[in-house]
Amino acid sequence: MDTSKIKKRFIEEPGALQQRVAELEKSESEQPQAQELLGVLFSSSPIGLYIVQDGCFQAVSSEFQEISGYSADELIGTHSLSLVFPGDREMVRDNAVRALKGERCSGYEFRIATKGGETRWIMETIAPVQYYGRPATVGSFMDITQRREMEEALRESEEFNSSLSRNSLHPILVLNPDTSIKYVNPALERLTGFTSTELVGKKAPYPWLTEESLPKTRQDFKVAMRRGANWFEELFQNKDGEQFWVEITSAPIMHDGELRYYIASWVDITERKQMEDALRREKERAEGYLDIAGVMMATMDAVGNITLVNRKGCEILGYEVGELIGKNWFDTLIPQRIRGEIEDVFHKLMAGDIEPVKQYENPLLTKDGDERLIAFTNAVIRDPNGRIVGTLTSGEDITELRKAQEQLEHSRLLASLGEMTAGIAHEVNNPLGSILLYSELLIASDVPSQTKKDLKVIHEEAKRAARIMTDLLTYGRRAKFQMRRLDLHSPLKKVLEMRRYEQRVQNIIVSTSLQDGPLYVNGDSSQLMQVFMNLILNAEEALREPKGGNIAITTQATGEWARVVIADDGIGIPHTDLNQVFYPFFTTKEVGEGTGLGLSTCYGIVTGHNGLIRAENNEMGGAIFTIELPLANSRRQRSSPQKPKSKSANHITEMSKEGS
Amino acid sequence: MATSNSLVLVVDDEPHLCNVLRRILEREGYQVLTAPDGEAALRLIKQKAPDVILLDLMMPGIDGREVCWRVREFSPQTRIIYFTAKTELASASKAKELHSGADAFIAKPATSKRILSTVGSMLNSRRNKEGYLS
Repeated sequence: MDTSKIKKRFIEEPGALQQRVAELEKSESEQPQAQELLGVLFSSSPIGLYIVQDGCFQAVSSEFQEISGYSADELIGTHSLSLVFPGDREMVRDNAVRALKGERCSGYEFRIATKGGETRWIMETIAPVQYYGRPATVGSFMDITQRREMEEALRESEEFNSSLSRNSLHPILVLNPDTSIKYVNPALERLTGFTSTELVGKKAPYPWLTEESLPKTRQDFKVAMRRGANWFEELFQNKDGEQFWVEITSAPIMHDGELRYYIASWVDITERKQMEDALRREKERAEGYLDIAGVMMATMDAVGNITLVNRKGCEILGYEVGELIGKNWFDTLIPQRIRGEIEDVFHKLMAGDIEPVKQYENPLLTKDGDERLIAFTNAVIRDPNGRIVGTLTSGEDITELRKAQEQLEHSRLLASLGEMTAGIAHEVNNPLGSILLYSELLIASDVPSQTKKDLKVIHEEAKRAARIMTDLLTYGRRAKFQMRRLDLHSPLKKVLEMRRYEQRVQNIIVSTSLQDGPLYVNGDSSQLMQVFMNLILNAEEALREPKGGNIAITTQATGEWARVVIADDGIGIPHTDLNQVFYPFFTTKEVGEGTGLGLSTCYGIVTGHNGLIRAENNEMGGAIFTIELPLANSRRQRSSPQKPKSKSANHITEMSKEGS
Repeated sequence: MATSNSLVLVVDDEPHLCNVLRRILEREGYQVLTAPDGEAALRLIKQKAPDVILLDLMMPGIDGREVCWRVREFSPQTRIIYFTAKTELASASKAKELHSGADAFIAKPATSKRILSTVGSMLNSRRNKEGYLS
């Protein structure tokens, strides 16, 4: 139903009515007929009709009765304004007065109170008429309550929306399809520092865009237009040039398939961004600390997946960080033969069945499939509720150290075996000599022939025993060396590493001045470690008495020789002993006492390497030990080493061994 | 090569060894003196000026090397033979190099033949005024 047509008809209706009444008035004679016609009209019109004369109802239509809830009897004779809502009465009266003056008043609205007490909205049109020869007004009215209510609801809704937008704490921006600003709310004004007046009508680029942010914002806007509702973060600046971060939620408002507006709601996330930045910097710093750590560090979750590994860990294992994160620790890094056992322990640990073992050693597989021996320190990680959610592990690669320790141990064993053999040989050879010589003496004397035969057996058996001793010693010496090309610095550094802790405890400061680059020699690494270990232990012992001191270690390539000088500022070597320090078994101690490994071992090893070793006293105090070994690839390697010139035969003991 | 009247000093802290060496050498006609340690050896060397010294190295007090070193100071012509169970001293030349002054080296245990031949050659070289090792 077209309301405008109804309205038009409604407005026209009193005109027609007025005409009809006038016609009826003209034919007084036909009055009873006219009365009848008016009655028909009043009872059948879908519009509420009435006639008022002298302020009181003279006639009311059935529709009027319907709307007002009063019957014709109740209404006729009552004051017409009595139905009208008090606040509207004046307006209605004025209109009635104007109508009586001959004006036609149409389409005004007011409220009435029905018999049932309801308030109804009425739209009314009145016109002047002659009723029974006297001026009266004819009115038609329509119940527009429903329309008014809808309008009211709409108005309220609009007011609500507008107030929502006005009072929203979040900035809101509405754009027209041509990008010009249609609306900004006070929150946006506050955030940007620009007023609504400054902004409305402005097209992009908007004053809060910065040069740096413009390309991104433009791109985001394009995406948003294409995809409809969207979400993105932008860095803008306010009127004072201060930058702020906003999170933008935007949506196009479409009508009949056409873009009408574009609405965007901002959330100021500057503070959150700053916190995120601070958090990220903190995380980066923590990762930085982890990365400069000299030990491997890793964390894993409750199922053993790696969640973090530092740079050192990657170095040891030969992986990139990305290759390890998310991988299972056990499947990736633990050798198969011990995997089950270690995984079992881990699961028990995660279940809280056992306490973490603070320190332990186990091998890890590198990317190349090699094994590295790692000394681990472990701790469990718990969530805020105290549940175990993973472990934190730090590990030190002790592969080389352990290998060196084992080599040294082995070499020590061989050396003590050699020393023991030599000790036994010495003790046995003297009595063996007596047996040999006495039996010879007796054989040469005048004894019965059977006795002579027996003595010869004794003599032969003594010689056999002597040969066994010689073989034993030869074997012991041969077993000592496993020569290969190596950097002389490597055994030296390993020994220094092993002694570092003890030296610190004993207040011994070691300074080194090493030749740049490697000093290649052909040698047995563990035997050379033995030499350095003995010399350094010796120096430490010399420094132990007056508490602490200095050890200076120098390496140098001189001609075809690799030279290592180990000097201490300790008590030095007594003059009388200087000649004898390297002499096998030169010691005031019994065999096997003291360090168990004397300078004689050093002498044996160095000479076994075609090298020289010498001891002297420093004029400033302390002892200086010098070792010279032929550099690998040197012509000297196979020939006898040249004896360095002695400063003084009385002060320097030098020992060398000719080529075997 | 005449051996009679040549004086040999045996220095060893093993009395049995001293005794048997004395008997072996005396049987060959040498005059033999023995000393159980370095001090006694040095006294005898100064008094009797032996032609050859058969010198043990490992002895309590003044050891063989020191005896050798001191003898060289006052009697460079005396022939000194190291007689030792020190098996590291594998050759006479090394013995000389290491211990500056010995003329020969005999490893213990040794046969009487080896001992007598070494003592004999020492006396010859002394007589010929030739260095044994040259």
